[in-house]
Amino acid sequence: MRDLNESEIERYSRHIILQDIGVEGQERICAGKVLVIGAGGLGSPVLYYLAAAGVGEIGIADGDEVDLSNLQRQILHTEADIGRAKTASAVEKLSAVNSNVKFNVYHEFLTAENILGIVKDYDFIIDGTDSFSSKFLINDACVLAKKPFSHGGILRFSGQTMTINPFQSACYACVFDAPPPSGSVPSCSQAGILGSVAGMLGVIQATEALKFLSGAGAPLYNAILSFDALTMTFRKALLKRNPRCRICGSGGISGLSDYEQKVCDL
Amino acid sequence: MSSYELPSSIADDLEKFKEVYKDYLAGKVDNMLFKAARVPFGIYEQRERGSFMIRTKLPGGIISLEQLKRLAELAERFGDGRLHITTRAGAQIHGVKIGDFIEAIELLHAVGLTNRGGGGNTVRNITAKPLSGVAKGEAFDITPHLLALNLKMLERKDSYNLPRKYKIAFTADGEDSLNAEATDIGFAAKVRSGVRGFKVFVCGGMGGKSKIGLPLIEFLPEDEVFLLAQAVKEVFNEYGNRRDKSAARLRFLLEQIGFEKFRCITYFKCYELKGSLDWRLNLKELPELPSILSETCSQPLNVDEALWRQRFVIPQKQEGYFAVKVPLYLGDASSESLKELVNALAHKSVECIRFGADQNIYLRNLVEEELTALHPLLKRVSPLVDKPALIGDISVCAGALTCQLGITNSRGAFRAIEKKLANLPLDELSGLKIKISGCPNSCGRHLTADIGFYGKVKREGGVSYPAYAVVAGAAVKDGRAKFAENIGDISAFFLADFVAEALLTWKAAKADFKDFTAYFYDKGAHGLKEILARYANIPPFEEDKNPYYDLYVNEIFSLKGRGAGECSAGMTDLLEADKTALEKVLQEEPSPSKLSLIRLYATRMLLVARGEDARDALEAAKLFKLHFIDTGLISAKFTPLLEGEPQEGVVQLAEAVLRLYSTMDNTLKFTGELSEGAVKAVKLVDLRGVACPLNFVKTKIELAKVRSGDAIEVLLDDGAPIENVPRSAASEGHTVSEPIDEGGYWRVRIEKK
Repeated sequence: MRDLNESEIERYSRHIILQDIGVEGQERICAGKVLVIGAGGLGSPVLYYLAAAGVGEIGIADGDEVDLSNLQRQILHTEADIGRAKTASAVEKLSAVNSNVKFNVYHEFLTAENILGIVKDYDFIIDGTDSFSSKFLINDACVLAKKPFSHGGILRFSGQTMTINPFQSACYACVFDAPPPSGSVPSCSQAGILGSVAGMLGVIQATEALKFLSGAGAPLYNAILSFDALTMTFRKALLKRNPRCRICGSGGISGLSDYEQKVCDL
Repeated sequence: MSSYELPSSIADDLEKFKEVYKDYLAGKVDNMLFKAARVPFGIYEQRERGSFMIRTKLPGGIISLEQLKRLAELAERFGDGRLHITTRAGAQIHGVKIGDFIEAIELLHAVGLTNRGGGGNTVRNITAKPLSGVAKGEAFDITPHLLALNLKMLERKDSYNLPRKYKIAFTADGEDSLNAEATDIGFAAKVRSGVRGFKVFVCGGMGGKSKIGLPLIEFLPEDEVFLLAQAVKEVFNEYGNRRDKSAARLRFLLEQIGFEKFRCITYFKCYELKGSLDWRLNLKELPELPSILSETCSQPLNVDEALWRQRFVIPQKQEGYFAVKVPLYLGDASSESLKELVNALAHKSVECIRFGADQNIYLRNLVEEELTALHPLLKRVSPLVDKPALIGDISVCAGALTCQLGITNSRGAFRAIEKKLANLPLDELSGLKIKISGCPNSCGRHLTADIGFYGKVKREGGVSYPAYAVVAGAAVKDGRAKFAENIGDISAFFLADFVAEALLTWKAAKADFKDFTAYFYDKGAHGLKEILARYANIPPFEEDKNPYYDLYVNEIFSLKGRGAGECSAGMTDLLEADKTALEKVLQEEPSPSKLSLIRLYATRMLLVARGEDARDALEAAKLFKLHFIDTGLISAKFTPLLEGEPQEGVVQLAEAVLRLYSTMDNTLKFTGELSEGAVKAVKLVDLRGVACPLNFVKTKIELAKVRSGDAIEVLLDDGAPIENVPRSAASEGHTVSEPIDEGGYWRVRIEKK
C-alpha cells in the first residue's frame, strides 16, 4: 500500500481525523477496488460517494442508456445525457469529482457468462440493479467468487439492504430462496419509486462499502435493514445462515445460470 | 612481512558478482541491481558516464611490493595511468571501463588484494597511522590486531549488508586519537599494568551531523577487539535505520536510543557472542627487524638532500632505521614512477611501504645508505618531494570533477593554494594541517584540520558561485577530541588569498603559542574571521565573471551533473524499485507474461530485507518461501502459486506482500517480529504553520508510520493548534506528554498506543 501524498492528506483529512478510519483506513480506501453494478437510482449516490472518498479503483457495469424517465432519481445523469450510455455519462461526472480514481467501464448487462470474470478483480461489489434475476445472479456469483457485497432493493417508499460475506454470513439466497413467480410482484414502472428513497438506500450501501474497505465498525452481516419512508420507520431483522441454502449451504453451487424473472424494468 | 589474508569466502562472493555482471552485460539484469552488486565491490561510476573507479582495500595502508606493482600495472592497463591513494589509505584506479572489471579484480585477488567492502553499506577499510610499528612513542604496534580483525570482518557475510557503512580505526599514540574518536568504532592502544589493550570509542563520524565518538570502554583486552567490533556491528545491523540513508550511520542510532541503552545492548551482544562465536583475535607476531651493527656513517649531504631529510625523513623507534614520507600531489602517483619505486626497493626483505590516510606514501625500515639512493627517485614520484611538508600535508577529496556528490572542485582549490603559497617560508609552519572537501561529506576530513574547507554554493545577485565554508581548530583538548569549528565562508575565488594571509598571520604570532590550536583558541579565531571579513564580498556577475568559475574549471559554475550518491546503493533502493515495478504491472491488463512478472517482483521485493538477493525467478520463489511463508509472515495458501505456470492468484500474493511491506519499520522488520527491547524511536515532526485540523491529520500520519510504543515529537503553533492537537491525540488513546513551551511554539511528545 502506498503512502498518501500531501494533497491526498488534505483532501481526505476529514476521514483521517476519524479515529476509526485514520491514516491506515484511508490508505486502505485508496487501495480498494469496488464494482458497482447498475449506474441508476442506487448506483448514482453510491458512485458519487465512493469516488469522493477516494476508492482507488471503481468498476461501473451497466448496459443501459439514459432515458428521460431516469432523471427523476438517477442523479448522475442530466438532460444532456439522454440516449448516452449510462457508463459513459457516469465516468464523465465522477472523473470531475475525483481525478485520482481509476474507472473501469463495463458497458454490458451482466450475465452468467461474463459476471465472474468481472467480479474477480474487485474487493467489494455493490448490487444496484433493478431486477430479481440480476440480484440472484450477483449473489450467486459473489458467493462463488467469495466476494463480499452489498445487496439493495427499493420499491415505492421502501428499501431493504444487507451486506453479505459469503460463507461467513447469510447470503441473499439464504433469506430468499428464489425469485418470486413472474407477475406476482409489481414492477417498478407500475409501482413507482420516490426518487430520494433510491438516494437513502444507495447512501447506506456506499457507507457499507467504505466501512468494509477501511475496516471501521461492523458491516450489516447476518441482518436485513428495511425502512418505510412514509412513516420513516427503520427495522433491522437479524438473520442466520441457512445450512441448507441452495447457494452457500452444504450442497452449494458450482456454476452459474441466469434467472428468468424480471421485476422492474426501470 | 605483514600483509593481509583473504578469506576463502571472497572467492565465492566474486563468483556471484561475476554472474550478475554477465547478466548485466546480456541485458538480463537492470542497472539498479548491477549497481547494488558493484558498489560493495568498490566499483563506483564516476561523473563521466560509463567510466568507473575501482577501489581496493588496504587495511592500515599495508601493501607489499608485489601488490603495489600489480596496482601500478592495472592503473596503466585499465585506468588512466595513475594510482590514487584515498583518505582511508586505500588505492583507487580511475577511468576503468566496464569490460575490464572482472579481469582487474581477478588480478588483484591473485596478489591477495580485494575490493570486497570497498564501498557500499559494508565494513570499510580499517585505518591506522602509517607509521604504526615504527613510530617513536607509540603504545605498541597495532598492526597484528588490525590484520587479524580485518580477516575476521572480511570473512563474515554480515559485513556486507549493513544499514550504512561501518568504519573502524586504530590509533597508537595520543596525537592521533582524533582518528579513533571520529569514526564508528575506534581502538586507541594503551598499556595498563604491563598489559596491552584499547580504549574504545564508538559512534563518532564525519559527514551529516558530525560527531565525536563516546568512550565505551576504558580498557578492552587486546584479544577482544573483534568481539566488540562484531557486537557493535550486530547492534548496528539490528537496530540501525535502513529506510533513511541520510540518518543511517551508527551515530544516529546512538542519538535515537541514548548512550546507556546503546551500551547495554552492546554488552549483552558481547555476552551472547562469547557463547556462540570464535571471538578471540588470532594475533600473529611480526618478525623483528635485524639489528644494525655498523655505526651510521655521516657523509656530507648536499643542501637539497639535507632539506629533504629535515622535512620528510623520520627516525624509527628501531635504532638505525628510518621512515620516509613521500608527499603525493593530490594523492596521485603515476604507474611508471611507482614501478620504478618497487624496483628500487626490490632488494628489501622486510616490510618497506605503507599508504597513509593522509594520501601519502610512507617508506619504512630503510637504512642510512638507502636514503641517499632513494631521494632522486622520489622526486620523480611526486613534485612535492622538494616542497615544504605543509603542502604535502594538505589533504583533498576527489572533488566535483569526478565525484557525483561534489559541489566544488577541491583539487582545483589545492592547486590554487599551492601556487599562491609557492614563495612563502612554509618550513617554519610545517605540521599545520590544511584539509579540503568538495562538499559537506567530509571525505577530505576537513573537521580534523587546523584550517579546513568544505564546498558549498553561495549566491550573489541571484547568480550561484562556488565557495567554501571555513572550519578551524580541530584538537585533542583536555583529553577529549574536538572537531574544527565553523568560522565563516570564503568564495573559491579568494580561497588562496585567504590561506596565504592566514598563514602569515599565524607565522607572526607563532612564537607566543605552543601550537596552532593554542593560538586559535586564544586570538587566532578572531584573526581568521577578520581576514574572512575582508574577502566577504565578490564583484557582481556583470562586472567580473571570474569568481563565478570554480578553480581550474573552464565553465561557469553550476550544480548540473551532481547526482544522487552512489555510496549507499543498496537495499532500500532495490526494494523500492521492485515495489514500483510491481505496482505498475498490477495496474496493467493481466496476461501470462504480466503474471510471471508479478510473481517475480512479489517474491523478490522483500528479500533484501532478509539480506538475500535472488538473480532469477526460481531463486526468488525459493528464498521467498524460506523467509516469508515458512516464517508465517505470508499465508501458506500461496505456496502452490510459487511454482509452475503463474496463476491469477499471484495478484493476491502481490497484495499480501505489499500489505506486509506496509508494516515494515526502519530496521526492515515487520510487525509481529519486533525484537526484544524494541527501540523507542523519537521522530521530530515540525507542524508549525500547519493549521487545524490538518496538523492533527499530519500527526496521525506520522503516528501511523511508527509502531505501538514508539513516540514522535511534534512542534505546534500557539493558539488553536496547541489547544486541539494534544487533546485529539489523547482522545484516540495515545499517551501525550506535557507540552513544552519553546517560546512562540510548543513541543509535544506523543507515544503511540
